[in-house]
Amino acid sequence: MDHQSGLGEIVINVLECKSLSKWYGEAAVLKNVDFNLAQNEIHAIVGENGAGKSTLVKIISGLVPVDVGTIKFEDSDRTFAHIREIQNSGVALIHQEPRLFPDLSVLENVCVDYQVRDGKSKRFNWKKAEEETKELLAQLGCSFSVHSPVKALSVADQQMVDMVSALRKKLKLLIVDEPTASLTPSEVARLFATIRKLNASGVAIIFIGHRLEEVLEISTRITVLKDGEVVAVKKTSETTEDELIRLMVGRNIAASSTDSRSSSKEVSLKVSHLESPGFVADVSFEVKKGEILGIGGLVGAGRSELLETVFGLRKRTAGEVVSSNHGSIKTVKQAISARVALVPEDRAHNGLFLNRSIGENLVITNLNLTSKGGKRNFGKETQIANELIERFRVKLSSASQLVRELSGGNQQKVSLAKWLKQEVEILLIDEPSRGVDVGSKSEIHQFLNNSAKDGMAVVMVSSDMRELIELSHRIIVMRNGRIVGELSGSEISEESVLRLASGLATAGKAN
Amino acid sequence: MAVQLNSKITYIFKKREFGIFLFILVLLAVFGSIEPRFFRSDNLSAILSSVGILMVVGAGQTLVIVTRNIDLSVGSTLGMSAMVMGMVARENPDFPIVGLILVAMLVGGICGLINGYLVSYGMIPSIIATLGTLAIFRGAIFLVSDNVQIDPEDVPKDIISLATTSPIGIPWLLIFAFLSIILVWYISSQTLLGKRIYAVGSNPEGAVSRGLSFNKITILVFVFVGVLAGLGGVLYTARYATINPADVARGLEFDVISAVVIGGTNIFGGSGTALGTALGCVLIGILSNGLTVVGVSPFWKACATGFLILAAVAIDNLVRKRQEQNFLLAIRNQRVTK
Amino acid sequence: MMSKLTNSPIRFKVPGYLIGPILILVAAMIYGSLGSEYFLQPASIIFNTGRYIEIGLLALALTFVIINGDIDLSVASTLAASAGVLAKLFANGVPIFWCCVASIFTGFVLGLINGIIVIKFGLPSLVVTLATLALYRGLTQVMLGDGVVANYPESFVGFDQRLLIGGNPGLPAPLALFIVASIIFYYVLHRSNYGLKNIMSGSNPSTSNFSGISVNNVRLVAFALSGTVAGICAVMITSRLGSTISNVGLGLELLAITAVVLGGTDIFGGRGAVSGTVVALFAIMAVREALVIQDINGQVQDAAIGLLLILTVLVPRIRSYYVDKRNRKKRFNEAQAKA
Repeated sequence: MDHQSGLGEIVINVLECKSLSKWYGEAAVLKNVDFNLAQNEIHAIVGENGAGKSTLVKIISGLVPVDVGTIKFEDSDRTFAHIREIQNSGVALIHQEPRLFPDLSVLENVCVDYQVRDGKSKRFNWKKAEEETKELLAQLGCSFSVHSPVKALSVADQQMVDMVSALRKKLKLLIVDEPTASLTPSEVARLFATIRKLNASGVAIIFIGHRLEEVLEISTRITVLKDGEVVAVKKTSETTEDELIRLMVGRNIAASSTDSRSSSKEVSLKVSHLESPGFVADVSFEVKKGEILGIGGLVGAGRSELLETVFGLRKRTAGEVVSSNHGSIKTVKQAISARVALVPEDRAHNGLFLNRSIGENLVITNLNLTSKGGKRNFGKETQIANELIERFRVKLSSASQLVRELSGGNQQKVSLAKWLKQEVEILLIDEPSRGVDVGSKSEIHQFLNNSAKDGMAVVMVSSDMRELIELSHRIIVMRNGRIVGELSGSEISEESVLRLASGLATAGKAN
Repeated sequence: MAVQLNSKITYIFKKREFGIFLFILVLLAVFGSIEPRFFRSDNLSAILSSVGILMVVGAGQTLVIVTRNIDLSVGSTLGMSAMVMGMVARENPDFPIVGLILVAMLVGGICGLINGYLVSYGMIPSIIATLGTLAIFRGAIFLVSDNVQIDPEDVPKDIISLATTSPIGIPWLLIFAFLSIILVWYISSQTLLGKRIYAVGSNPEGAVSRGLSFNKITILVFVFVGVLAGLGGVLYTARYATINPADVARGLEFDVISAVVIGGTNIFGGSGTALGTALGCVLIGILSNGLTVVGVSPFWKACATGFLILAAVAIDNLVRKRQEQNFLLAIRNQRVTK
Repeated sequence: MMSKLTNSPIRFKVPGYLIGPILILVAAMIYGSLGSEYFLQPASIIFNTGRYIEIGLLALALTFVIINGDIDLSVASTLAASAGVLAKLFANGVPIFWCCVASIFTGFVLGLINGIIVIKFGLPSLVVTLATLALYRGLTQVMLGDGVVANYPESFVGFDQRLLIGGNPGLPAPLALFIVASIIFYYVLHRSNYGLKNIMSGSNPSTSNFSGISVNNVRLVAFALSGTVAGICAVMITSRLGSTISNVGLGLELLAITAVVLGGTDIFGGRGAVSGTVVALFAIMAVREALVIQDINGQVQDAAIGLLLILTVLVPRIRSYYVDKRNRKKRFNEAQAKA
């Protein structure tokens, strides 16, 4: 089926999706989504976390079955096709975290799903496969050996392996799902060059990205998803970053101004020469009462690891962490009794017990209040849980509901709330709004601002530039485990942070 | 730089089997120097024969553990195959020996198929499913045999001769053991199927997203270990000539798993080799034989096995951790120099 | 909007994990009483509880270990080694009371060793306790050899046949002990901080560490507990049998694990209940005794339990598969109707 595009040229759609809907349990993640893809385009899908981007491409690539709707790929119905059939017809999905087999070698990873079709010989020809793989790797500018195990490669190289395994088949549609999150700028450049080259050779591309400037750079058309629905399809040349944000969020975001109040002079936490092998190297900083200290940097710069080391979770080989009120902190126990709290980035693995009730999640950090002599008091537990639920306006049906069933925003509130029954002097918070809806996001921001005003010291890691810049009074930037610069006041800008983070500027010369 | 890294890694990978091999040499030297009788050829072949059955079943168990599963029912499966084969032989004294072997392997395969379906489509954790079938198959042995044991005079001479005759200087029993190990080595290192088995164990979610038939591969490895346990049943019959419904191969599952783990297979899946398992079996055999020959009480044997398992996993763990650290540092350096 | 926490102990609905074991229990009781009028007679129950109670106590302790996401395959070997120490000391003239104390202490130490190896070296408990299964059994064999230690004092032997609370029929001592133990374990798991930490660290060890729970300590306590209970069971089994040989309690670990899993404890940790293990134990006991009355062989009894184990896990999965399928179809039809 052909259709006229705005400029009058004939566009042939390789992929046509009609009114796709998908539920996870009772929650609808996709509602009546139509999505068309022309052969020669790089089509970006943007939207907030939880908008349904990943679900949509998982359905297209056959990873999860669609509940309602039809999918046509190259004029044949693929709605209920098996994943292998879809992949053999030339569709490949590349994830942010490459789905490879760490114990197998590069060559084995590339070949593992290869179908031996030659009538002549039933044996797989490893020699031939090795030649082909080497050639493809060379084309992509990769220099690692095909025999090294994949677990010895960096994420960027692993993505290339993923790409090569897609290229070994006749590739017609390549889907890349947030591929740049943990790459350095030069690695991103290599990836984009590869994507463009593929597109020029006739491979249709779906690109999911969360950095809008990258989306605008690489794509030709953009679909905006919000709450599982398509809100707009735009030509890249006819839209702007601001418009995209407005569409994604559904309203204008007024830049909430940081109050220019000066935080107090009183140091709350002092970290000196902290060292955790492989992740954190010679890091020193201090944070004052009432201050929000932002930590910027690329994914993999060691920011989360820094917070974990400060909190006593990671082995440290040198340095010390001192709370001005409670003295030296070495273990998690000491950290907690020094009124330090850590809200981790990865809620599912580190922040919450997804398979346990909301009540239990809130009580576990407050056992000293709810129990006496090691004996639980259910009345007190209920009381404390309900109090926190009300205070943070967690939307739920009952406190006995599993945390798994909550939305991202409400999960994040639980992950934060569990610390805040008791006084917190120093809050370490990692990516406060990852996977959080707009409403909850602004509530969390408000909470951080108010807490700082009340004298809490906040150390915040964020990859969301706006968040980082709007909330922080001061920003330190990390790269490869080290602090490479500090910005405050008028020095703070998106560009200055990025330049430091990617190593384009050195400390002190950010601008 | 990449090439350098690679050769270093293959070196580490090869070191695992090499390590057990060295340890075997040390043990041989120790036992041999205390008691020269240890090196007599009949003693050495007795050691190998004693671990032949373990090797056959261990070869299959290796692949099961590689896929992040475990088969606790191998002893019962072996017993069931041996019992059915013995009964067929008792009723039909003229049944051809190849037919008998096939019967045993078929029975083992069916047991494996049941396990495979329970674990894959039934989504029951393999440790629970095979804990259940361990008991069920053993009950089935009793019901099938009506609690009548197979006596030496019921077992055809041809079967017994599998343990006693040596066509090329090696008893049949060992030939079967070596063939099983070679088969698993071939599958895992030379075929795509083998790579898929390792892929499933290395990253199950990834395997699904690459379109590998997760369930089919799971069923396949369970059928495979079942068939090999069936073959093990033949060899058991050859060696012991008596099949008692109450205690045929009871507890074999623990010995097999021990051998596989000592051989370096990661209990969390994804890595492990047939050669390692074979060496693990030989190590257990040498240890228990050597202790007896040098005059240590046989009661120390179980202790020694326990220590061996602990040492093996502790060393593996150490090597793995160091390896990961090396990779991490290498990747980091690479990024910094770019 | 707000409602009470579910972990409050007052609950009138039968939890899902109990349905299977309760059905098995009831069915076995009916089947058993059809087979013999004596089946449900107190006297018959009393004379048969002894050996199940040992399994039951081991299962109670294993519930804690398994909820943590660990496993202890070595419980039966720990029991044997403890019994070995008891026997060896007794043979050397130590008073029986101190033999029992030493036995329990041995169990505690061996359990602790399991825990320390697992935690300090970061090794999988499945493999470590497989090794100690061999190791502890080996130690027992070294201690006792082929020999038998018997001639325990009259006052010590026959614990399982002793009746508490009045005469005949009365409460058999092992059963009384088990009831008391169940209540204690129930309180520890469901009503104490340790129990909550135990469940939470099995549910998600990483989050537990991030929340200030020392997961390793929680696990260590569970291993030590499992060892200690094995030590206590060693005393009970010695009293019941009146003699000690090196393969005492061989294979009990599989029966105990079966009871735990049948009672709904997740083999991967994070979920489980003492009530499940208790009911499952009684279900196993009823099934076995019912089959005994029908004169069915022990091996077949094991098989029946194995089958029930698989069915209790399998049936809910099949059910949820079809419920899912039905829901999907319903939605599809609704959407079709709209379009």
